[in-house]
Amino acid sequence: MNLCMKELADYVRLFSRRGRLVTAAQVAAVAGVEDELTDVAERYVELVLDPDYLDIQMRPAEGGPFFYSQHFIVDHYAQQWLAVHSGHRIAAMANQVRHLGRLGELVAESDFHYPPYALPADDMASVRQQLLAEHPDIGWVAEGGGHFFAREHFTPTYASTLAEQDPFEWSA
Amino acid sequence: MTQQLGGWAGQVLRINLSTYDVRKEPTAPYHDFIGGMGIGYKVLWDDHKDGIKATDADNKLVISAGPLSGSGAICTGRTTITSRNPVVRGHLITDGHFGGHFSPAMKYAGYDAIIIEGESSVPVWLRIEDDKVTFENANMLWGKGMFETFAEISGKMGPNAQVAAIGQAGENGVAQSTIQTQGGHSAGGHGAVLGAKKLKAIGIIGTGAVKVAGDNASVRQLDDHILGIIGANNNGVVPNQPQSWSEFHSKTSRWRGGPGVKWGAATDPVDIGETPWNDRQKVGMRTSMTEMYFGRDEANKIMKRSGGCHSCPIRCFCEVKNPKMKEKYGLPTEHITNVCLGFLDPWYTMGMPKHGEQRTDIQTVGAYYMDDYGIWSAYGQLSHVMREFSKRDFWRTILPAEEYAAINWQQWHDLDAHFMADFYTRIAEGKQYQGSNVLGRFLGRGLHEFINDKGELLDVQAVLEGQEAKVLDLTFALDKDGKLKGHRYSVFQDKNVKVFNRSMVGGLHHASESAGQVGALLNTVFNRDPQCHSHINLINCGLPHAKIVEIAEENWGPGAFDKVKHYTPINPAKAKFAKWCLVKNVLHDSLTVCNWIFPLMASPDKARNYRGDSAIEAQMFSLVTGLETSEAELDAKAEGVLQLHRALTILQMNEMDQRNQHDVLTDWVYDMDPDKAFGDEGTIKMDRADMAKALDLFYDEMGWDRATGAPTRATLAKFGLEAVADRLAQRGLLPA
Repeated sequence: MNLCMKELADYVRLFSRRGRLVTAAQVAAVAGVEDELTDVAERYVELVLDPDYLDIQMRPAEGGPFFYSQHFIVDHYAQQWLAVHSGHRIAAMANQVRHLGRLGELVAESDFHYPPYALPADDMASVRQQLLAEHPDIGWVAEGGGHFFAREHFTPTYASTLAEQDPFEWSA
Repeated sequence: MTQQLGGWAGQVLRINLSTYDVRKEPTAPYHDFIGGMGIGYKVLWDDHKDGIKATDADNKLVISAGPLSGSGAICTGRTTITSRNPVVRGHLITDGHFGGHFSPAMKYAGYDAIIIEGESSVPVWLRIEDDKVTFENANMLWGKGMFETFAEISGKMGPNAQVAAIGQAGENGVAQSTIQTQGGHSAGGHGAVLGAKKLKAIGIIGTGAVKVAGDNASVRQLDDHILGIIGANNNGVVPNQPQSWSEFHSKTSRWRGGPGVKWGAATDPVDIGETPWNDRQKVGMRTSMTEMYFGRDEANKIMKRSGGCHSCPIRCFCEVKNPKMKEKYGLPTEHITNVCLGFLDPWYTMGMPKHGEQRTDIQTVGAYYMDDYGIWSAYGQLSHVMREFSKRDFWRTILPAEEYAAINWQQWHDLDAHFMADFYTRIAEGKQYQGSNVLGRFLGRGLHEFINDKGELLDVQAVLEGQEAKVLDLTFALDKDGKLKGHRYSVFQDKNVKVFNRSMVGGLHHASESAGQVGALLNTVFNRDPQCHSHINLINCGLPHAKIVEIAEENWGPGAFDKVKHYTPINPAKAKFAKWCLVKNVLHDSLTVCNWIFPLMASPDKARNYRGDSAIEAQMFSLVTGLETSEAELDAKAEGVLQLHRALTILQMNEMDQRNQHDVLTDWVYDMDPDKAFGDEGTIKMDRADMAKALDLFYDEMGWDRATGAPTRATLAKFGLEAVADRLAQRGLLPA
């Protein structure tokens, strides 16, 4: 049975290369494993006892647990991916703005065009409206193509300054 | 003793072009100055003569490498060129640097440095094949561009030859000229020095090796360590756009390679895809800076591959293919390789248009002409003057009417890259240009020659003719000039021309916009733009601001790094940060390690809490030379080199008062954004009293006298420079 989990690990890595978390059932289907996988958590613990598989991570989630490889996916991305794919996209966006706000950074609207959000540019206006309506601690400035900011950490005027900051304005 | 050490080749080659004498001297006397820049400063100090110009036969030029070059240690392909510089007021000493493969070849031939003295009566080029050194007739090369010179010398010596050469700009005595090696690598400010000596080029083949004292396993272990810490160009340690393997990303980072980035002009186009930090097969794809200079759409069309220097995994050079260079602009090639100012200078010149085909043509065609002629921009200063004077319509006043009428200004307004041909030809040919050429002769010389103490422009034609020159009647007349509108024009008040150091008339280079007083202080010390990236490789690494603050405060103390455009008053931590930056910069240019990557204060490794390792240079030095040396010990040697530079500047200026005669900033630095005060959100404006205090604290850190900014005897003695102190004291140039 461990051999089976090890075979699946390569598929987990393959999906992770594409920025995607997967359940055991999903990779089993892709791998053509017909037996129903039981005791997934237990098998996972056995798997990661082998140092060659320490990169494989398991996270509980709705419809889960989900797996990914830390070689290709960082935990922070995995958390956001799970939130987005379990229907909590707006809350995940707000948390990302708060998280980076604590670290002194804004979030460019264009960041949400990339996975795990992968929002089409055409949808951004309505999503922005929803985000700002549901999370009044989040602000938005138009500069630099649009940036979100955590009101706890930035004034709107300073957010505007940072949003249009060009690090190469003075020196290349 | 030298023979038992690794790293150093062991010999310095001294070439006298007046007598055609070749001497080989031991490198050992220079070991305390590490190598590279350190050798250059020591030679210039030992052989100092008062009052000479950069282009005089008595001036010496030193091409040098450090103990790490050629050893295979990571990012050690740099070459330092040291001499007096005709672009700088007083023709003071500066160092320029190029990458490529020249210094490793020099080391493999057995030399740590080549000292060029005297002046040949006829054009020559120097042929070096290991211990065989010959002077070759260069009449057939004189007048030829850089690319043809490389090709002809390689044709004679073989494809392994590394060549350093000058173009027509250097030959014609144009101060704004380069010495350059193959692959678009150029060092600024000294082309005219070689031109005056009638030395067209140096071709070199070395078949030896650099001895590495450490064993293979140790060297491999260190390489692995470095590859686990290193980022992209300017040590960007997070990607420029979101990628699933990275917790953070930043538009500031030069880790541009990622999904959507292609090398579309490659024979087999490459789709870069994700570039995980721990995928060592893709380290060379991270930087992909073409996107930064050309925009993604254009970059994806023209990028062939990345290029770079000996022993460097980062590959910051952009090898691009623009068929229009040949088809539309009549150039002999459709290929060009360059980075940074090579592409940006033509763009600055033409008014900085947005990405698109016009900008692509301007940058590729302009880069070709600049490189072929061997033109230097003094970190963009030449181009900033061209652009801003064009916007202000100053050329109509500065140039003779017939010359103004002969220049195709419509091409400039239309962003037509055809403008590049005549523009750069004028600069490179100077007085040799057929027809009136005040534009090219003016831009080809140091700006300091054409302004008064207030930064007001003198009658350019009179200056060029050696006549007494009056101030030209030029005024600030644009709406954006605000309160300056209607006042007499001064380059010291025009922030867009970007003169930062008032005394040296030196261009801004990561100055007050970069960590406030830290960047500003760095821009006071050297005699040209400081070329210092020690701070940039941390503050622009792309980590969130709070993470950078953590690293800065761990190293230099509370308050070391301010928020972007929201500065606090000077404090001791900032002064320590500034000193550290300069010491590391000098260390790199002496070792010779790339300061566009090192020091590695941050890393992409979350498991290290994104911390880098500032001791890597010392680890490399210890392994390569066999001299077990700590970071502090090696930094102390570099600081000694920095002290020697300060002493040499004082000696060349015959002026102890560096504070008031050298370390002075231009007015716009303090007077910009008139509606804001220093410390307000949204401005990089500095404060005069605060900068005065910053100098106090910085001088304290450096061991320099507060009143004059000159090193004290005790400071010089601390670095074994007692003889330097004695010489300064004899001339009354040492603080009491």
